Amino acid sequence: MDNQLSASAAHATDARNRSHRHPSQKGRTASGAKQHTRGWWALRWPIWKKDFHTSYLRLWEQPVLTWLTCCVIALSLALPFSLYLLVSQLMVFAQGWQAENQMMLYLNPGVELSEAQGIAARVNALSTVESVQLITKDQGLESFSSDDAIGQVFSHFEENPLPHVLVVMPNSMDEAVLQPLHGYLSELVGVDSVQLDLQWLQKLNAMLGLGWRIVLALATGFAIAVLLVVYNTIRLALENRIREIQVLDRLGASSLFIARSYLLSGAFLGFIGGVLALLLVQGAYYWLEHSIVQLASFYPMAGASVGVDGVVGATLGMSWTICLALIGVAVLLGFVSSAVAVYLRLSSR
Amino acid sequence: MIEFKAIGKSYREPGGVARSALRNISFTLAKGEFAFLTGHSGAGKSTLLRLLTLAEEPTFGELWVDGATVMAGPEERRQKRIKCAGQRAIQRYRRQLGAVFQEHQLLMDRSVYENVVLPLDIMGGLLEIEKARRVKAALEQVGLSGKELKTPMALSGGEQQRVGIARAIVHRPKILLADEPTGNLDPELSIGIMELFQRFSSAGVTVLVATHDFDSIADIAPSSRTITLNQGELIG
Repeated sequence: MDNQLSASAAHATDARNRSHRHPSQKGRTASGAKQHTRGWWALRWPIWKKDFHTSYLRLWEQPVLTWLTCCVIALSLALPFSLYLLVSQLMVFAQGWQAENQMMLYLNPGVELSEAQGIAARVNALSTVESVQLITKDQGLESFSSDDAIGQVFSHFEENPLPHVLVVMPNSMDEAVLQPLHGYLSELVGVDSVQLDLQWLQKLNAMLGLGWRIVLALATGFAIAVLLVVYNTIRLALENRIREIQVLDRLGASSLFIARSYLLSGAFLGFIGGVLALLLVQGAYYWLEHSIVQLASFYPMAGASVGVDGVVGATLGMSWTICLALIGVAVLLGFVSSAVAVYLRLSSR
Repeated sequence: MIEFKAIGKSYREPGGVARSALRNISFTLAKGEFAFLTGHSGAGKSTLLRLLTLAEEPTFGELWVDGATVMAGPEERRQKRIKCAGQRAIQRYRRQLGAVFQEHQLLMDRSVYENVVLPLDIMGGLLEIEKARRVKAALEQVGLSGKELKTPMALSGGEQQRVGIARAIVHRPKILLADEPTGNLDPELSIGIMELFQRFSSAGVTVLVATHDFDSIADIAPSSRTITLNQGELIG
């Protein structure tokens, strides 16, 4: 063994050079590249596995601190996330209501059917109009005659008193589109009046705009809170491990080598916090489910899907994408704050 | 080759008084040379080794390794416009060092194997099976075979010292520095460790061993070069 160590010491540099040599430097072949990739994984995977294991174990060295951190992350994420879901669901309801918000154009009583068809064609050609439906005075009378009481009233008239009506469906419910369209249609020759409840739309849009701003402000505030909490936890972990960092530093470890397990710890905290936040929101939904379904039954709008299957992701607009996005954001926040903590600690070495 | 050029190191004590730990130290260590660094306690041996591991910067003077300036005092850097090693170069340099520290510097919550394999993990480029082979060989050299899974806490002071030595040699360094490596060892083991260092030296590794035990030098390697410090000055 003595001879073996002496001989190996003599060839230490050669061996080191060989192990670092890149096979692509001269005449890389397909099989060579495959072998290189396999070698690359074989060299790094055990180290990553070790870092993963270390970072996970490190968190449970102080279980109370870890759970507290995760709970704070979960609460910080759950509140803005719930509000986000609420506002987006309100948007779905609002779209359902807005879909019924057509403009009614009542034409002058003297306008003939051919003229009404001409006006309908002009309106339909507008870029801000999705569709136009002409309800002739005869069709109008026919629809009223189905009602016994109103039908009897209309039977006393010698002539049909109803005007032709155009039902206009704008292609946007944006106030900036509706206002000018309303003005243009009112000015058309042959148009008696245009009916649109703009004030109601204005209120709804203003409320939704405010809702989004509140969600954004809360999300930003709580994201900063998550950053600070994870930063503090990782900073404490770094302080507890200061001796280990010094030893690794003296052995020539790169900053990334030292930082890797701490970055993973931050990401772990974010992941657990994200999952807890999802559970909190889902739990809150179960609690409110009955009331929500009862409320939703009064507004049977198309597109407003309030399910009761109780599966995460199937209700309140919580798709799997949104669930994954929440966990992704949590992991990212954990990673970023631990990166800041590690950077500040290592740069002061 | 390691070259100390008029290196001095002083520390500022509470009250603002500067205390010189090293004064005007100049010497050269050739590649593969084996040398003892001797002197009484407080002579500056550990300070000199800390400078060599780049754990500290000199107050003045220059430290050259393989023909390049690794560290220099602020005055030299300003006057001669010397560009010293950056963070990455320092890390690369440290990976070529094998250092046995006086206070062992082991990670107490990790096993002996995990402690010894650290330099190989840091160096990278080796498969796990090769790392295991090298760790086994290094532990065998220091007489700790079969203790891979123990934690340093479960070992005696002398055994911890030997874990530190195994960690210093496992990655086959170019320069081996040892601060009182046999301080906690019995005479028989001390001789074994010194013989191991000498074999490394024969294989081209520069070895510098700091010790205040003059007797062991005479017994183990009477013909080896001795660098002697006294109150921060080089006297031989």
